[in-house]
Amino acid sequence: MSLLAGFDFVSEISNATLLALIKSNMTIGGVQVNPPFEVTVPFAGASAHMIVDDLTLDLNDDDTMSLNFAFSQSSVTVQAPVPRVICPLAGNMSVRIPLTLVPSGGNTQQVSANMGAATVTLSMPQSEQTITNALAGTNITSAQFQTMALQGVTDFVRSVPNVSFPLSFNVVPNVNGSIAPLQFSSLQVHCIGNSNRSLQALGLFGNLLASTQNNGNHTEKTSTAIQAGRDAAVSFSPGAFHSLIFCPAVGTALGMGVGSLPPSCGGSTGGVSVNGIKLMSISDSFGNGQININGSVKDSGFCYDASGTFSGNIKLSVNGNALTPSISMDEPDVTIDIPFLCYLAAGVVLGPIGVATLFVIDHVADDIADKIAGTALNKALGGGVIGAVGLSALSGSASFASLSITPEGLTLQGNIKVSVKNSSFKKSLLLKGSTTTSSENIASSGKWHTQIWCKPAKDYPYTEILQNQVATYDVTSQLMATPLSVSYTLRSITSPVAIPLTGTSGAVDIPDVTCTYAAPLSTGGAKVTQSVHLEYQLNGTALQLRNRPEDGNFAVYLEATVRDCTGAVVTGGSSVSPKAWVYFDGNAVVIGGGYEADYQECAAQMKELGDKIKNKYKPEDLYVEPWVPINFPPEYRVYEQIRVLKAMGVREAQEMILHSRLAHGSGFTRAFHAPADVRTGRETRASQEVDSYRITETEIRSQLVMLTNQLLQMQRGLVSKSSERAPNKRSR
Amino acid sequence: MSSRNDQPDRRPAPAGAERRLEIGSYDELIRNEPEILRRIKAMPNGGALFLINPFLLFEDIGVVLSDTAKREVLTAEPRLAGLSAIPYRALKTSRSRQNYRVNVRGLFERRSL
Repeated sequence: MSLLAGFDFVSEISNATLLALIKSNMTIGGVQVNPPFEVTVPFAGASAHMIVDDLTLDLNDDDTMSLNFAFSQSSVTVQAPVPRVICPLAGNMSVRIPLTLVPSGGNTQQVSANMGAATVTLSMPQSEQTITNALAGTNITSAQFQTMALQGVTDFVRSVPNVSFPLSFNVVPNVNGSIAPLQFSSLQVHCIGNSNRSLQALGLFGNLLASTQNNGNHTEKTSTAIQAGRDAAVSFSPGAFHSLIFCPAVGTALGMGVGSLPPSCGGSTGGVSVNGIKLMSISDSFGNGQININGSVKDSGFCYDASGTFSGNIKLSVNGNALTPSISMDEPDVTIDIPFLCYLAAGVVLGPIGVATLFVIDHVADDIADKIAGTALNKALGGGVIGAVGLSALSGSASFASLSITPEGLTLQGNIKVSVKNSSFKKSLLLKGSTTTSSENIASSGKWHTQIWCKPAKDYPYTEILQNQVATYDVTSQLMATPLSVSYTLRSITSPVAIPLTGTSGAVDIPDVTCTYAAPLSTGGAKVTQSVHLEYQLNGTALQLRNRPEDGNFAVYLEATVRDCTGAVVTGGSSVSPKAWVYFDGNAVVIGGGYEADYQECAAQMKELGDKIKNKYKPEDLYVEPWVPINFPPEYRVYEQIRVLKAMGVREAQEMILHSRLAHGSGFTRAFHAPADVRTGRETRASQEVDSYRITETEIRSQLVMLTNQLLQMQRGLVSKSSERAPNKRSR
Repeated sequence: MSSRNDQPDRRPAPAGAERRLEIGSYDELIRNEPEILRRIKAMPNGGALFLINPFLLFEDIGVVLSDTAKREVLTAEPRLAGLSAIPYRALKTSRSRQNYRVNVRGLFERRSL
């Protein structure tokens, strides 16, 4: 096999790395192709819902890539000539896409998948019977259906915009390119195929010089240079290395341009001075495991003329994440002409020529290592990859693994960490919705005389309102075999008896529901257990519930039984939870006269007081919530506030409980009617915040114990404060 | 460097070696320079041995200097006084290829005594 197939430069990316790039960069129908995922494919007279479980990639010899989508639990809904749902479907869809380089602005060319030229094959052998059964009674045969489905997904795939990979390169024909920045005179992209996916690679075959622009035949490269466990390989030809790395390195070492160097780099046949001797020639070649350097020197003095040759080699080793050169240098081979016994000649033999030549090779070695490590690999996979995945040759996501040198070329092996996030899809079924007020009527109004503890007593105007509300709920699913069918039940919090909602509309009475009312204001409201009346309407899977305002404020438990397209009831873990608490606020009160502002002010003062006491005993407490701003706080925060105020045990705090009920309004009633897990925050904190903050349930419990102890301390402190303030309060 | 007497060594050259070339003075040495250079060139590492110790080399290539000739050479090339036989013998007996060669195109710088 050929390493470089006659090209100056070949960059190879493994199948696995390219697949990771595809998963992180490619979308179909707005969905990232990172399994598991689902996508809806519309086509004439039908639509397909496809759940993709797995994606594999093949890089083919004809410079196409095949994306193989393994799907299951999928369905096709046919509208005409006879409505039918064909489900569940499973199989494999293979999309074969030509890979090309396309201009992407300026001199940049980018690797692109030409979706418009994609061909699709669809294979569903295990679904033959399902298709036949579903189409029974129609004049559509299974073969016709599969042809239609194939045409549909083909049209859909071809409508997807071309996929541009973050592999972009600078290509300027007819001029010599460079390593830094990487610029080609010509570039081709080809696949290096193999029946074993782990031996497949995407190859970028480039020439860097104007003189080599038309060189190379990619078919001569029949296998990838990427070693097992590596993600990428970058190879340079000896010629490219000579022109773009070695000679510039010699120029850097000698402080002059390449053209001014002696052969084989430049045209200065008279040699150039290096530390008092003349470097007449210098050349490089690749050996096995090393870069060979040969050269010739001349020197002359008062009584001698010396000429010599030198040879050495540079070995490059990967040391940690750096490329370290080591040099081996033979003694120069020198011939000295002396016109007579000349002691100066002995001085030449014994040192300076060797020193000067070693100086050159030493500098050249360092520069070569820098160029290869710092520039060549860094840019070898294109600037786009670097930007996309944070690739840096010596740090970050890419790292050197090994370097090999043979007479055919120099090859760097590397590992690239492409960040592919976990799929955003997971098998889930949730019941989601909200309650809105459709209309309201004033039930009563008046003035309420009260005092919030930090303010003088005053009259606050109030209005009692009856609210007609509509709760709208629907199931949302991921990775389910659609279409889904749903049936709903309702029950009270305390009753195990679920009442089914039959038909598409109707009304039900739910017995034994705890309801609350805003009045009387001075007690913070009233509580009644009664039957509540709800009207319902079903539209597909969506449900609307309407309350009767005089039933007050309450919550009922809504549960859905969901069946997939096969009629099987959908079950699963915690992510399959089609149930919800539905809240209605039929009765509300609006208190004016600056009541909310007064409440906030007193609550803030109480918080400040509580904090002073709390800090005296313990500087930290996460869950002391004597003041919760009125902005629809989560139920558990309201509940915690009430708990703390109650635990304070002083009158001011207890008064604040009443005012909290009124000030928070529906926020308070929802907290009051919420299930225990919601009120304690277990549901919210355990499933969301705990996940975020990694607080274990045990830690929460221990903090609540701490809180209780602190509350006792606070109570003692607040009572003491309250006693000190008592004369002032009485006088007011 | 010292010599045991003022007369050239008259012993015959070893079998297969160059005939002995007896040199009585510096001028006579210069007059025989072409022949001596030829002998130096023919001697393995001859140029390098010449730089290390010309007197021992002369002996080895059959050039026999009288004490007068030696004295006159030392007068012309005072730095020849610090020579040693040890590096000379080391190079002479070495079987290794040397990485430098010295082409001697003249024996001593021309100067008046």
